[in-house]
Amino acid sequence: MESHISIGWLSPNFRSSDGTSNINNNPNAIDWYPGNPVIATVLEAWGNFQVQFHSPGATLLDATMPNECAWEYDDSAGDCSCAFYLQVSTQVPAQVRVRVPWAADVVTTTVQGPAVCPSGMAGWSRTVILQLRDQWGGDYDVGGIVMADRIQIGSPNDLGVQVTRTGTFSTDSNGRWPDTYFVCSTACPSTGQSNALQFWTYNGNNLPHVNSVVYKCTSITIDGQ
Amino acid sequence: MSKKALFGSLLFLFGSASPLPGRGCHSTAEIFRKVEIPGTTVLQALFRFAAEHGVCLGIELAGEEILRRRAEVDMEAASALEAVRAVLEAAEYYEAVERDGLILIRDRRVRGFTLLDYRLEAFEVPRAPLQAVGNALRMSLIRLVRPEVTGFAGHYRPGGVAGIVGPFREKDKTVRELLNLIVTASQGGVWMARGGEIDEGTLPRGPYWEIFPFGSGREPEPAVLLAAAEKLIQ
Repeated sequence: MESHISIGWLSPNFRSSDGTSNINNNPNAIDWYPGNPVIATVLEAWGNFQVQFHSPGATLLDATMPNECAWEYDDSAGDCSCAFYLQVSTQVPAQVRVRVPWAADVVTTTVQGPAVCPSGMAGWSRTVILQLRDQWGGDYDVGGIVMADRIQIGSPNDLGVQVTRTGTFSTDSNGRWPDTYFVCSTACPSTGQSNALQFWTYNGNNLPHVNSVVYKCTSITIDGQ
Repeated sequence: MSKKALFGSLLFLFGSASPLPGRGCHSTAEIFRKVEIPGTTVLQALFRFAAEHGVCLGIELAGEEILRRRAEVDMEAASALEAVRAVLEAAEYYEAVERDGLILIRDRRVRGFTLLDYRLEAFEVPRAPLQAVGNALRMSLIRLVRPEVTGFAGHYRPGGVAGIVGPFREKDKTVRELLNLIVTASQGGVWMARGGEIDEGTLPRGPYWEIFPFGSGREPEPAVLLAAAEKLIQ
């Protein structure tokens, strides 16, 4: 037996040793065993099996058929009878991944150069396209997610950054948004740098990954990119 | 789209000034044959009207009525100012006046000093993207009040390449006047700022303003608009 998952629905496909196969959606015939029921379980309803996604993570959905009969027609009785019980095992358990937004990564740099700063200051500006990622590094391609953040200046802070600016953004249908990072300092030009941590939220929830940002007078790097 | 909304959109296309993207802000005196805005929050209605008609706005946020109350407008032969005032009726305390080529909206309960009243001796920036100039204005304001600040960092929405403005070499102008200048020098848009009273010589926490250019020809996502507005009212 092997299972195929599609948008939260399971369709168990039975393959017999004679090469024939058929889909069995009979909830009385199949018992499901989630590897981690905290992540996902199977809701058994007549005619279909629906995957219930509960929390982020990956798990397997195994299944057995405990009482599957091989029915045979008994000529003398004029009726069907259970000739023997079939041994049915799972060939490939269904793999389930419950994805959540995990990190904001730089996809590409649109433009960068000297920042527009108040008189007496100079600095750098870098416009990037950010991509929301899931916990496996895959694109989280969902639009309309409100992204917001908080920036914490760390050490060193050679550029004397005392005031930070944060913003609110909305993902497009690919889970992306444009963003301009900047630094302006009275210490520029110099070779100094200011390190910062950027804490993102998505729709008000904390994004697990925290970005490290390095501001210099002639560059800005985000998580080493 | 509902039949009513579709009808409204068609009227915008055929019965009013050409929609954006265009060049700067449309005249606030222009008469629109028909203005129809389906029921939505007052703030969203203002953005919808502004974006679809190319009328620039400056909104000084104070009371929450503008976020929470709903407006629906169906007018004929209305000027931009009349249309905006009709939308604002639902917000009760907000009023609109024409100023510097756009329509300024403010809460009339606010009578004292706001951060938009700060006056900069000089504001000089090169030709640059609209949001970069807005960011430079923010930093200039902070340095006016806190001259000891040595560095700024962070990020902002970049806006489109078409939103290049300036250069600006302005003297003795308030933040409000500078925001008006920046937005009217652009392809058009709406600035929305913290409009509550503050003690002169201080600055509130959080963002001071947001500039929404008309580049895409439509209003910003409602969730983003609401999130930005809530931060400005806090």
